[in-house]
Amino acid sequence: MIRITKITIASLVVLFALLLFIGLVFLRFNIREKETNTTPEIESSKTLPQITQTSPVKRTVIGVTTEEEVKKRYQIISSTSNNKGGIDHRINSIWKSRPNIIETTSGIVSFERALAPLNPNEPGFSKISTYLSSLGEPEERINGSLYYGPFASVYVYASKGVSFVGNPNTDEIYEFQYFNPISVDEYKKVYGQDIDPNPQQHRFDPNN
Amino acid sequence: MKIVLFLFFLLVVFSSPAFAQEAQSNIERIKFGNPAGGFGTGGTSNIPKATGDIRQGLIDSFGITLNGFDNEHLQWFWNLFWSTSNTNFPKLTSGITIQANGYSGISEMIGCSPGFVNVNLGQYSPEAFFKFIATHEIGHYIQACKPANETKIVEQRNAHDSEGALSEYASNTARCFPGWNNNYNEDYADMIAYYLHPSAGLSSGPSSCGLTNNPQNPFSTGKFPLHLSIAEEIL
Repeated sequence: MIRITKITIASLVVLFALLLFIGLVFLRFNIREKETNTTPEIESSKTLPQITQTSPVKRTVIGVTTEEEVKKRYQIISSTSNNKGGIDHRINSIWKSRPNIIETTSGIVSFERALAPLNPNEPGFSKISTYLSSLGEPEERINGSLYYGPFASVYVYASKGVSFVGNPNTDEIYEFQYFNPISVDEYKKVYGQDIDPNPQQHRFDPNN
Repeated sequence: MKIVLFLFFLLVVFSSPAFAQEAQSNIERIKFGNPAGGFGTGGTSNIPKATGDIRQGLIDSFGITLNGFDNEHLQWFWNLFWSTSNTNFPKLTSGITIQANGYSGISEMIGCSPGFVNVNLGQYSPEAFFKFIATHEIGHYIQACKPANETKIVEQRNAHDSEGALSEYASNTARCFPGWNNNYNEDYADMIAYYLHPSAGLSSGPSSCGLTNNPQNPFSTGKFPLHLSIAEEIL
């Protein structure tokens, strides 16, 4: 009887150790999963105070934020001179081939392209209808984006120094652009590289 | 006693959350990879022949409105939707209106507005080719008209940037249509089409572009695991 009890206790100790081991493995698995789901730029926006609260995805104040501040606060993946006499600082976004951009001219931010998340549960997810309500009708709405496709539209509020690109069919905003107030024509000339001059979906023609 | 303890141990392991998650994942993969009617067979086996008013049957069963199609092409649509009925394809396309455009007319996605024509589609032959082009154009509709958390457009573009375009056509859109540069969009539509027609070996590109005839289904090459995973997630 005593022997059986000893075996039972020993077995329970082994079982407890095994359960502890399984628990630790599971805990580690969960931590790793959380780590891979957290991108550095989201981390930095959580831990560092936002410069402006105008939009959850906006990082700077045009004409105010300095290049030094930008470099200190954000993880810049590359910086290159552009043809406008400024420097484009790139920060990773959810789109691998379309990073966030902060342009500085003479050490001060002159343009920002801020990509918005497309998960409705993420802070910064933005709807076209919300911005139409707050900003009013755009000075010009241009159909077609070279990057996002012919179904996307660019909503230009040039005199307010803001534009955004979104999909009117789904009400989703893909990206915001911030700049010093200018005319619509100037906007198209200076920041309109993504506007699609011929926004058409592919057609399948069996005779071609 | 040791046997009892061993059995108890097995019970603990197999009921752990990690194991349950893995099992659930496998169930989903099986579901997405095997449309009813047979993944890899063209999807026409075991499909009941539609009887009566097929057009009304498609509206009632799948919520899709087809205008101007002959009975043979309506039957082919019935086969397509029946064979994909255990995927999200019918859910993603419910409410769509497709207009027949002759027997050799142009096919194109033209808009998202409910109650209006969303896709123009030629009534091509044979059935496999017709269904391939139909799903390609409907793929454009899904991409443009449904929210990004359902269409996975971000993930698909990132996959394109990592793996390259799925098809020869999607790699050469700009060359095939000078002035147009929608490689991402064609990649998306072809991803939907090739996933739903694994044995099709067809191309959605124009014949004048000099693309390979009867290309291998890109998913069967094993070179596009990210695209495949995204197609599984969408569908």
